Amino acid sequence: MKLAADTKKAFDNGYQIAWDSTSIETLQTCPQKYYLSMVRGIKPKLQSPHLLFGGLFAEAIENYYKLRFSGKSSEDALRQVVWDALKNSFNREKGIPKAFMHNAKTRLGLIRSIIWYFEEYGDEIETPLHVYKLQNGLPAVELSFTIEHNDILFCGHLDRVMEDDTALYIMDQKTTGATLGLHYFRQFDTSNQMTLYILAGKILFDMPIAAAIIDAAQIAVNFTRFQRGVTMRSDTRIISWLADIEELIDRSRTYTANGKWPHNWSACGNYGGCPFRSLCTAEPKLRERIIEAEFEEHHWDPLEAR
Amino acid sequence: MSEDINELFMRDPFKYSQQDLDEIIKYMRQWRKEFLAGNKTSRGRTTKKGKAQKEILSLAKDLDLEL
Repeated sequence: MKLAADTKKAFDNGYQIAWDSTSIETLQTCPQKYYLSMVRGIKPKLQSPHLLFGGLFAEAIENYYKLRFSGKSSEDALRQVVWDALKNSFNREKGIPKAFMHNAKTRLGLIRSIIWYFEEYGDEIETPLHVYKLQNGLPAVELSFTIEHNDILFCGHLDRVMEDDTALYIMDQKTTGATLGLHYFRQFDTSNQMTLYILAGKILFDMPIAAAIIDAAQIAVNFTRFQRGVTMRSDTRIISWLADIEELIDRSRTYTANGKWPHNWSACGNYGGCPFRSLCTAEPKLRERIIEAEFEEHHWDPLEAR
Repeated sequence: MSEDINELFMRDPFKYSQQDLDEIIKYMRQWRKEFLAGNKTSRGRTTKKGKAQKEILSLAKDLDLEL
């Protein structure tokens, strides 16, 4: 059987050596889900509207700041990223807009959200909290990183780094249908992704990392609302997290060595339902046919820069 | 959504002019102003304005403010 792990840079002889927050979260949720998505390397054929929408939205925000730092005016930069988003959400071959398959995360909602975002926050270049400028003069957006800890490589992509008078902040773009508030932001206090990003920030930058900022947008049918939340990590918490992740990765190595990936049957309903439910609940002799019909290759390699 | 903007959204964006893009941006900015003024309904549909929204718009007009 051909395994994606055989060709991914993040794997060495079948063992994952480079871990991002997605791989970690997937393994924590269910080893079988991890095996199917990362090792076997498959995903549902139907693209998630959340990934499509979120990806295009984050890309627009990041590219706006790249254009601003390259000398474009705020209006020209906005016009360019709106145009790019419209083009990237259009199926030129068929001559029609791409179908987002979601009632709120639509193409119209995408363009509205991009424009409203800059109406909400303005051009955060000379504001008290502004986009950090790297030593090479480029804005600190879409930064890929790899850090080494013992025999593990941790990697990821920082959406943006912000700065004020005293410290740096790792900012991460999120789009959601949920109402923004304490309940929404609380999830990030235990988020693997935020812990990893703050750890990366502490290693990569000379200035202190005060916190991670979750730059959230609530996408509804008729509006987009924005709110920012903050989450912090002490060094003690990071050390504790590293110990937990090391133990988790050790377990994955045992699964790999044994070729057995147990199911976590209590997680099947999480995150709107596991995409592999149809596979795991089918008779084993039918699984390859289901994979051929409903799934495609999943090109997720933590070591590939975006 | 208005007929014009709907038609614009259906067209091939690779063939857009700068004017087309500016129209989209202008439309979305106006939509936001209406949303902040209290109109949470879908654009393009004719709806009755609520009491709060009427008051806000009336005050804005009296004070010569742009929302």
